[in-house]
Amino acid sequence: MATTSFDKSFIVTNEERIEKFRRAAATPRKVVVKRRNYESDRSKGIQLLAQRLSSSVT
Amino acid sequence: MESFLRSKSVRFEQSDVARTYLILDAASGDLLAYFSLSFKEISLEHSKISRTQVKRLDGISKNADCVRAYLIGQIGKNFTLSQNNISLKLILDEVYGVIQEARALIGSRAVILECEKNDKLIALYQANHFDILIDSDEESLVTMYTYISD
Repeated sequence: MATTSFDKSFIVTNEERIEKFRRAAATPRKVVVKRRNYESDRSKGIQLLAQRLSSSVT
Repeated sequence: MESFLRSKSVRFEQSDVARTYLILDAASGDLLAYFSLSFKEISLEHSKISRTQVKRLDGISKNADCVRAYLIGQIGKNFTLSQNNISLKLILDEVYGVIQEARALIGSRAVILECEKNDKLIALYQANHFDILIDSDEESLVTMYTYISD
């Protein structure tokens, strides 16, 4: 996956695709997600990475 | 994957272009997958689109011809691990978790990503409820989208 997506402009000109996109907007898919504590996950993640890095150095 | 995480992800983080999330194995700390999220506008160049239709898409403005969408700018699995069972669905579940947090604060329900023009890859995203939005000869990648709600 290229990183160009971050900088580019997304322009849709295909009328069929615009119409399908429009219809899909009216019926978004319900997604059920896990409730996460991102602050806590971040701390745990940094700890895990620190352990990994220290064990790979020694 | 490695070059993005080592270089660009840090620069994007520091410049607030995107946020990158790592999915680690809770026991070993192995990097299983990662994804980067940002926000983009999609321009709809459709002369026939009615103001009512635009209003339904945008939710607010009667004159808008743009739809705001969450961009999955990077998504990747670590294939260097001998055992990594994480699936695209599981990675997307984490993506949607972050997006739902952002949605609660700033709205929007469209999610887009770009992928290579590879039939198997496109089919994989389609199996995960993405559809093709932009696929032209001028573009080297295919843009896909989905709409989500909670």
